[in-house]
Amino acid sequence: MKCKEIRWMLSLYDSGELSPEEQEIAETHLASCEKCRRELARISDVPELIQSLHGDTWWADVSSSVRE
Amino acid sequence: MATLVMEEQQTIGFLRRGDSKAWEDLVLEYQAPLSRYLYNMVRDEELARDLTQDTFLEAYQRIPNTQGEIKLKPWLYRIATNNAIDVLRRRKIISWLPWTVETPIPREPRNVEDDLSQRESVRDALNRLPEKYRTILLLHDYQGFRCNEIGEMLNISLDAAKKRLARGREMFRDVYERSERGCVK
Repeated sequence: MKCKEIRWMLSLYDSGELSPEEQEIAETHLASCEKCRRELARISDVPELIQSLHGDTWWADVSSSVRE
Repeated sequence: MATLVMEEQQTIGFLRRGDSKAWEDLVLEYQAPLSRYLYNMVRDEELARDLTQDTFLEAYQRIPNTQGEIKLKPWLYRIATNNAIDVLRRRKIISWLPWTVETPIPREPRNVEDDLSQRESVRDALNRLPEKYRTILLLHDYQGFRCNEIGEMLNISLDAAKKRLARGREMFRDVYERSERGCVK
């Protein structure tokens, strides 16, 4: 399978969102494609970056304001 | 699992009947996560608070008209998401950027002092994405919804949700890298 065809799978690799068949296709492709392994390394920390927003604290007083 | 589903449906029954204790518990459980989610959608504290209140108000008005089993959390987030999108569209504050691919640069390890600036960069990159990609990234990677739940919330197929999430992550990574390089104004 071509890189372009499986590119979307790289973004979801090991996220639990790919079907077993999709995960296998991605693994097989990654085993033989250096370019896609680099792309996977580049994109794999996106969920972690977005989760870093949990460190925000501005809503500490939201509880009281919402209940008023 | 079956017990949890039964408990939730029991709770929904109380909510449908306007039970004040059930509503108080619902607000206590969801107000903070909903507010955080909405803030990251609209990047405006007052607006996020207003939208949180609007979400509960709309839920209160609509839930008596719902029928059968509903999943409370996705249902609430669907209301919140639709309200946020409506407001963003009305205010026309959505930033649209062309989809561009550039050569990635190596990332350096960050220390604790970088956290604030990193969060600002993340928020900025999210805000530069088209709203449908920002929405799915916040629902999946920030709130922890699964693609099948998001598909139900947004009325799109599971396959469309997966591909939208994948595309969103790619776009986010590109915009974030551009931002870190100082290429985005």
